[in-house]
Formats: sequence, C-alpha cells, structure tokens
Amino acid sequence: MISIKEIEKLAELARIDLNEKEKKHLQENIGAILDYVKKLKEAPVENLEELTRAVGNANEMREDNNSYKPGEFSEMILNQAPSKENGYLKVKKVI
Amino acid sequence: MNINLNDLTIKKARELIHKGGISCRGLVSAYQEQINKKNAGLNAYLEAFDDALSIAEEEDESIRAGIAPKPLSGVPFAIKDNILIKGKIASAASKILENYKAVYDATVIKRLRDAGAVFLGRTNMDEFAMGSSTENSAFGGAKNPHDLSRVPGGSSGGSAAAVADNLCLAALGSDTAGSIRQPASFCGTIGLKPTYGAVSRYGLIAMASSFDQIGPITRTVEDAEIIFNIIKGKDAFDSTSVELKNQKPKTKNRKPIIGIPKEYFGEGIDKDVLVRIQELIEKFKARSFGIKEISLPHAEYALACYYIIMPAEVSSNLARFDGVKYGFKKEAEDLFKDYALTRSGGFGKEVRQRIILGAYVLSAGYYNAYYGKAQKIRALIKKDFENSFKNVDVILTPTSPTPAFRTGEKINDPVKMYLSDIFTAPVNLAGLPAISVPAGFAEREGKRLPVGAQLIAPWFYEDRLFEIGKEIESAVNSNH
Repeated sequence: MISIKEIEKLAELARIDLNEKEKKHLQENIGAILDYVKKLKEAPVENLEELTRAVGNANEMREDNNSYKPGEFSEMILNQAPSKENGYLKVKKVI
Repeated sequence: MNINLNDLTIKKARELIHKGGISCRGLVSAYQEQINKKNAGLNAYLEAFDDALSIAEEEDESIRAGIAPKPLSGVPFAIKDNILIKGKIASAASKILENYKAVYDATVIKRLRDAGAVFLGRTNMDEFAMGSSTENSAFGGAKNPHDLSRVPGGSSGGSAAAVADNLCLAALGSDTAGSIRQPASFCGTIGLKPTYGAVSRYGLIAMASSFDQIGPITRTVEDAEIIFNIIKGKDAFDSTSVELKNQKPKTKNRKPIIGIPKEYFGEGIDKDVLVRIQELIEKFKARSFGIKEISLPHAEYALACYYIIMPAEVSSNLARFDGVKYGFKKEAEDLFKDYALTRSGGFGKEVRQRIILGAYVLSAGYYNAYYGKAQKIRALIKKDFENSFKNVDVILTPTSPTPAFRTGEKINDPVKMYLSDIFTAPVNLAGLPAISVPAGFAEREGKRLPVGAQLIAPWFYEDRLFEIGKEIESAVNSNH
C-alpha cells in the first residue's frame, strides 16, 4: 500500500529521522489507516466545495493597533532558545 | 474544617465562600491533600503548582478587606498541559516541550484568573492531544479512578481523572475529536465541547486548528455552564472566536424533541452502553420529551474523513518545533540533521506517525484523492446535521462505543484506537457543540465503569445542552 521508499521520502520532507524498525512499523500502521480511509472513494461528492472550516469562513480583520511594547517579551522568549548570541537565535550554517 | 468533597460543586463552594463558611485557602488545601494522597497512583497531574495556596490566601485577603467575592473565588482548577499559564511549564505531555515555560496566559486562563479561580496544576494528556487513552503521554499514562487497570480516556484523561477523584473541583480540557467528551464518559464526569469559535483558542497549543476547542470538565452540568459562561466569547487574539448572542430557547412552550440517529446504533457498540442509552430514551419518553429517529446518512465516512484532515493540519502545525526557538534540541553535524534528530528525539511515536501521514495526504500526487476529497465529505457531514436540526432540538448518542478499556488493550492498533472517537469526531467536523453526561454504569469484573451519553445541539445552542443535560442528570438519579 505504501512503500518503504515513500516512507523515507515523507520522513525527509517532515524532517524526522527514522530507524529501519520504525520505517517498517510506519509502513504497516499507515497502510492500515489508508486502508481504513479508502472507503471515502465511494462517497458522493460531485458539485461539492471543499469545506475548510465548519463555522465562519470570512477573513476576520482588526485594527493594527494596541501592539506590545518593543522588547516586552523578548527576554523571556530568548531565554528559552537552545542556542543564542547577542539577542539572536543561533543556527548552523545554511549555505 | 471538614469539607465533603464528594458533594461539592462550584455553586456550593461559591455559596460557602461568599457566606464565609470556608476560606479559599481551606478549599484549595483540601484538594491539595487529595493530590498528595492519590496522584502517585493516578498520574493525573504532571505538576502540582507550589503557588496555589498563596494565590488562595490573596483571594481570602481581598474578601476580608471587604471586596465582594468573584464568581470563581478560590475554586480550584486543574488545567490540561496544552493550555498556557504564564510562567508555568506547558509541555503538551511531550519531551520536545518538557521545559517550555509559557510567556503569556491563554485567554481562557486570563478569564478564569480574573474570575478568581486558583490553578492547582497541569494535567496529563496524550502527547499534543493525539490519542484516546492518555497512554501517549511522554511522562507515563494516567489511570482511571474507577479501575486503575483501565485508561481514563483521552486526550484530556488527566483532567477527567482529576475531576472524578476529587483532585480538583473543575478542569479545562481541549477537544479535537472527542478529547473532552470521551474521557469525561470514561471517568463519569461532565465534559463540554463548545461550538467551534465559542471559546478562544489563543494560548492553546495547536493540534488541528479547524477542530480544536477548549471546554470544561466538571461534576455537574451546572458547573460546566458556569465555566462556559466565563470563558466564552470574542477574543481579539483568536480571529475564529465570535461573540455569543443569547439564544432564545426554541422549546419555550413545548417539550424538546430528541433525535436518535439510526446509523449510530449499529454494530460495534458495547451491549451495556446500548442498554444505558436505551433506558435513557425510555426515561425521556416518560418525561414527555419527543423522541424521533433521524438519519445521518454520511456518518460512516466521518472518522475516515477526520483521519485525513487532522494529520494534514498536524503536520503543518507541528512544523514549528525545530529545536531553534525553544524546546528540546539535539545537535548533529548540519542543520538538516539538527532538525531531523531533534524532531525524532522530541516527538513520540504517535506524533511522528501523524506528521508523516499528514505529509502523505498533502503531497502533490495525493492531494485531490485524500485531502480535497475529505474536505468535500466534511461539507456532506455538516449538511446531514443541518437537515437533522430542522426536525429535532438535540441529538442523543452514546459518547463512546465502549466503557473504559484496559491499559495496553488498543495501543498497538491505531484503527481500533481511533474508533473510540466514532460518535464524537463528526461533531468536530461540523463544528457543533456537544456535552457528555453520565448515564449509569457497566459492570466489569466487579468494577462499576461509567457510561456517558452525548447530546449534540445546533451551532451556538450550548444553552440547550445545559437544559437537557440537567434533565439527564435528574433522570439517571431517579427511577423515571
């Protein structure tokens, strides 16, 4: 139903490292779930729109005001970063 | 002072505090004693806060100074671990957020705090609210107080167990497909899932944003009503929240009509659960309520539809956990490996599975076959309910097809576990409000396991759930 190769590709896209045992396990479980959801194929959906939200669909706008004082939360937030330097989050080289 | 916690409700506690029969401190310490005694066995709380008593004392102080008590002065609450309380850890029972401290109060917390509530601690749950048994917690599962070898349900299992066994007077949970109602059913408490948009989700750690709602878990329907009226309403920080108008009871001059969906009473329901619900229907008849069989023809697609849309939203919502901004971090040789090892080390098995399933149903070749199709079926399911509510005032179903199952019984079979949500998930797909109310017990090996009845009302008609929910409470406690 779903191949190990597909699982590997999805794991790469989702940035999740998997060992061989878990790939096999996911292949079985996701296979079982996809098998369960295949009953949707027969559902009559001609002329129906996709419903992304059950209640209220319009974009809700508000005035762009009452913002926080600059820096009000910065310290608390930065304190939780695993790696930081001079008020910046620090990550490994990308390019 | 001795307080009988078994009989206590928010309303009674409020009267006692207002009349000076009990102090906020006394009330809070009575529950803390229960936590100290029972939490090791239940694992309902992940953490009991050390500032609860001093906050209760402040409340007493202000009452002594002549300031009128607030609606929830001193009422001890348990809060699900995915709702932010400023300065406290909010881990969503995940290793990836094990040490994450909230930098602000969720809107529901702010509203409860302003009403005088005291927070006793944060409760156990399935990791990121993904599960129906609380077994998916990274910090060990919670137990059902009615039988410790069984699960309390999930994902708000810790909150429901805490309310059921007097480890708090009331609790908050979150419900994406049944995560308030199913544990309430398993533990014999009330659980309310409000209409989508009725309660702000600001400060709730998101799982599937188009379904998630916060709601109360309580001992009585009236307590759920009191809490709902405090936390509901428009919030500028959640654009999907709305102001609730006072709904006029449509049923003013006649008894309400209760719809019984024939599709929900087929195979797969435990015999005892079925009998309890049928007894309830008989009692409603005896009380001159209208009973009408209805049809929800697309009910059979609901759970499959949910298990496509939900993982899609999960994979997108959980992309933010990258080990850069906060939370668990695993170092590796490059940035890609940093991400991949952080996320595989920080997320548990079920969470990883749903993220990968979500990536699958959203991928280019499958989008129309899965995600697009499921969103169309969602429209069908909503239509089913719209049609039904033309003829009935509320819909009655079992909350869950079985009473509490044993720890370990379903954990290795995802589809079997997911079927726990078969009666609750359609409600979230349609964005409706629903409540679970105890409807009696099923006996298993000498243990009495609670059975829950679910009432579903039209959008924003929570009042009708409270009105008829109270009728269930009265019917279950009497012979007619």
